[in-house]
Amino acid sequence: MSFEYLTISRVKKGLEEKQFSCQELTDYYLKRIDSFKELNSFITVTADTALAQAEKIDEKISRRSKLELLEGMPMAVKDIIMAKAVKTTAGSKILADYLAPYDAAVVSKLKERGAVILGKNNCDEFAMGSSNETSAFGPVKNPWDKQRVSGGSSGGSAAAVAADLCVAALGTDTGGSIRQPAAFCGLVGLKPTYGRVSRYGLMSMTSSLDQAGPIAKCVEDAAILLNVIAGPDENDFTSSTYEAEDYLSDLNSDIKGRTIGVPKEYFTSGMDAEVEKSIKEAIKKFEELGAVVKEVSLPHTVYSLAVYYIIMPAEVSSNLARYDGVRYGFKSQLAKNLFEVYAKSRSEGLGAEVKRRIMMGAYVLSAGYQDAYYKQAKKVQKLIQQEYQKIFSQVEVLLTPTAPTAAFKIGDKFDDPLTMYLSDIYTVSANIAGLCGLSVPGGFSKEGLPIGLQLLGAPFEEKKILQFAYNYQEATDWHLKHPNF
Amino acid sequence: MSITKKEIEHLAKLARLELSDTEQEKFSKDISSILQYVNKLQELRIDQGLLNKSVIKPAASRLPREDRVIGMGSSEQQELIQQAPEKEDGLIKTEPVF
Repeated sequence: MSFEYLTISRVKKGLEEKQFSCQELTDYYLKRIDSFKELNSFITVTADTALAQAEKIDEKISRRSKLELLEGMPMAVKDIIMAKAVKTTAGSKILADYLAPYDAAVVSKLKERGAVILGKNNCDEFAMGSSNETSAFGPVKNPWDKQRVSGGSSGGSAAAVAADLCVAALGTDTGGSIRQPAAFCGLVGLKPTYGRVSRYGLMSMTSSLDQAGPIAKCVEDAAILLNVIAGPDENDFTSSTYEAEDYLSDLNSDIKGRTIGVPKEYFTSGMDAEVEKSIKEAIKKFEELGAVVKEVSLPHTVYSLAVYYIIMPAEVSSNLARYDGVRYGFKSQLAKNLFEVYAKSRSEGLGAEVKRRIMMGAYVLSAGYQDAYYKQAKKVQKLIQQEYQKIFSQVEVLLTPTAPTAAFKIGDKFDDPLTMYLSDIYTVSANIAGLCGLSVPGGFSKEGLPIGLQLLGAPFEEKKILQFAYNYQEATDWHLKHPNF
Repeated sequence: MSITKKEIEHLAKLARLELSDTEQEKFSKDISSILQYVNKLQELRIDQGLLNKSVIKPAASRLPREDRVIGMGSSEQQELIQQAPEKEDGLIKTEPVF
């Protein structure tokens, strides 16, 4: 039988009914990872441990017919998430040989449920980028058009799922890094509410915004994975004590009479005409499904990106101080004293975008500027949170595009950071306002590139956005199209 | 809003980075344009009173756990130390502070 583009529930059924063995399946993905190396979507492939795990699963299947939800599921994990004894680089030269000493909470949860981890996905360096071009291991190619970026920063995870090099993957999202690559690669990407998923074992970028979540082939798979990774964790003080829900049950709840808000501020001049056409068609589709769509206004949302580009670098400059050439990672051989150990190791080990953000953070936090920049940004953040809170008392979810354009060409925006930053303009509000958000396939451009739709929900309302997305997915067939590469 | 070469040098020192002349020039241009963009926050006059009134559903209502030493086995300890670029006798080695 063909293994192509299997979803989680399809794999589970196949394994339980012995249509194929877990070793055959794992072998299929490992061979594909090898055949499509040119996509550059993996930094490390853990073939041996994956095959050993697959063998164990096959033994289990021979003894009993029912499997746990993720037992034998070949998956991949973004290389900013730690997996014990596996090289975890965060896409940076400074950690090129770093072996993670423990499992991130999300990795432990995958392992506990029996997932087979195929390897670690390429990503922008320390998740700082919107195109996967800042990785020290080179850019990832988009399977839909290899001249184009796969999005970022979870670009390797998205390309790997889109190219069927794994069933699904985990990424992280600080300003759009799960949703935007999912949109560029024609997939479902879910950023849970801050606090919904433990950050224990994620290499910190912006601790007040970072969140891990799934990149998957369909809405059901995203819901299944959220079921596995969500929940409180005593190792992460910022993880919420609210118990996780069952995100899979009632996924098909009808959306008749339920309200969707479309924020007019998102329809800016930067929006590509084809993206605008897709979102308008999606609005019609939701109306056909019986949802009530209304225009809403979020006047301060236009400030989200500016707030992000102050809070994020401020936290980056503190978080990345730990890469000092002493405790772990790369150490410069040219250093003659302690200051030079710090400065030379960091200068040789970190890439340009990371340095730019550290510098920007040092600036907004420096004496004389902190009030004008950082404190003002925190106030505006609160204003934006209030505005979204008010809107969510009027509508259940918000519908917007995920990104202003489809995937752009590799190299096109690389030299102009501000233009690159604008790729996150629609996704960043969810992080700033503490919302949950997902991207679902919403059509194709004339050139055959996927376009993503974004659904935003109030804090901890993942279930709602998943329900709306599922209803839309079932009424369309965008998610069933696969790239030819 | 533009940022001078001298400011860039100062920031680099604060951030423990050594930048080449080309990097200094590029970053001074890039950071100036980013600052120009984020400066739009300055146009907002925010009523602190209104801001304080709002109730935002907290993401976490976790109480701090008891402050206790969890401890770590010596093999685990050595695993962490093994990650350091230079070590001696099971300790991390670096240049003298003074």
